[in-house]
Amino acid sequence: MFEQFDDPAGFRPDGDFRVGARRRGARLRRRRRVATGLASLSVVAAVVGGAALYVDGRDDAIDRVDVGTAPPDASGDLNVLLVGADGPLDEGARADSIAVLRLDGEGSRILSVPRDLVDTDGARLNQALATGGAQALVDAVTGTLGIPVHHYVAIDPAGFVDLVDTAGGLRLAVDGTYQDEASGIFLSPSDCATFDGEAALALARSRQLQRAQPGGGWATDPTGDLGRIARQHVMLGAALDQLDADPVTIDRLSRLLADHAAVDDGLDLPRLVQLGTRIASGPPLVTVTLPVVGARQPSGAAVLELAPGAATVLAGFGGAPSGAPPGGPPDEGLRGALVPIRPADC
Amino acid sequence: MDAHDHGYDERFDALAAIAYRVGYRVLGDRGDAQDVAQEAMARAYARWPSVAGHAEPWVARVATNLAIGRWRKRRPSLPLLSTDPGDPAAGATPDDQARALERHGLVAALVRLPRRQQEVVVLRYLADLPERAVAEQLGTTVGSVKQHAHRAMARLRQELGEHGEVVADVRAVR
Repeated sequence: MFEQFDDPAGFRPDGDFRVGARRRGARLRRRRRVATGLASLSVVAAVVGGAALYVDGRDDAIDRVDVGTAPPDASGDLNVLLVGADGPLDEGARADSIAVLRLDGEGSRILSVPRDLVDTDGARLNQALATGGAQALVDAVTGTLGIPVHHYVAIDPAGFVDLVDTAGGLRLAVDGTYQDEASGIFLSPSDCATFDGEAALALARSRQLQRAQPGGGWATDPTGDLGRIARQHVMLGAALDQLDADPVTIDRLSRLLADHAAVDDGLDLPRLVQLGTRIASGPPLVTVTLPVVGARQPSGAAVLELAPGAATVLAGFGGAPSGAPPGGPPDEGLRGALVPIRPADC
Repeated sequence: MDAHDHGYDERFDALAAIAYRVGYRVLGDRGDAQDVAQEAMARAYARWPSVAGHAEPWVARVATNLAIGRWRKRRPSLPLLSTDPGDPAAGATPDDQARALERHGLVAALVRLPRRQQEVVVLRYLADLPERAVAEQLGTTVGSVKQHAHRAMARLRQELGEHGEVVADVRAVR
């Protein structure tokens, strides 16, 4: 369809063309080195919550939720509740992914909260957002995990897709053939596969990932949501590594966050920049798994509850100091989880 | 040449050809297409270690973005029939004009495609990359690529009318 529009004379690059490309490329490379420090801070500020370093006035466009959060800690340590919703935020969406990002003297770490974790009343945490809004979810997290929440950031699926696309896709290596028909992800072996927004979302949402068996048929990840969290952690690590922002990208990111994110009213632009600086200038982000055990409710529903080792982990997120020795019991919950991805070298 | 640049020179011509092809098909002008190609190759050089593993689709996409960016900025300037010997457009035939209109209409339809379809059309039909490379780049299967391509082409044809006439109003396109 497009061949009819080709240049009949063809194209052969000459010496000037080659030299010009290299020279300009070298200049870009130098500029990138200088900008990288600033860029990773900007990108993280955008990921944490929202506004552009370079663009004024964007601040007002982002939805603010009136969420009661814990007062700032004297030590400066803080927890940000990150929520990935499964639909538009103002239409009663459920929380598809819940995580707590902590910034303290040790650096930054992120704790993913399984969707099926129940609160003290036996209600799933992820329902709280749908039934009671942001405040209900903050209260449920605070009450169930015993940790403070200082800030709140939520993003809808379209925002996640755009975030990945704007950042240029996510590059991962895949070690086999996998599928999850429910979420629509299909993976083939590759040393370097670029996931666009839709593919990244489908992978991040996959709860019933299946691996193709040599003799035919598929084997399903028995760990469900826990396997999903493990895969999300790999994706997050790769994303932070690969994100490389320039002013145009930051501008696009801030615009999409204005359309697809909601933050608590304590998060204004200066605060976001402050948070972003802390994350970017500290040690690399550490991902943390929450020890949980399976349980059955009277109704027969399979849910998750905090395991004995959880107290130690939660103490690191501002929870009550735990009497247990550090390094609790090994995480049984993840045995057999399918984690077929790793950050790609390409 | 240090380790950073390994392979760049050897693959330069092939990659520049992809970028030029994309640029010319979108913009229809040698100078424009060369600018697009040179800028795409410069950016590839700046990020070569991370680009090298998937350079063909990367360059194709960057060139497309550059070309469409430039396409958006300039209103369609159709080669006018002109008898002024100083005018570079002089000598443009009605055929040239028709082709410029068609090209414009096709690009306009391309940018309106849903994201996934657009991706496939860009890599497969603008850049002429093989199906496998497209599937790998998009993190999906060859079958899925075929499907998206099929739907996208049907849609493009529909927008352009049965005989390739431009149905969309050229003036109305941003």
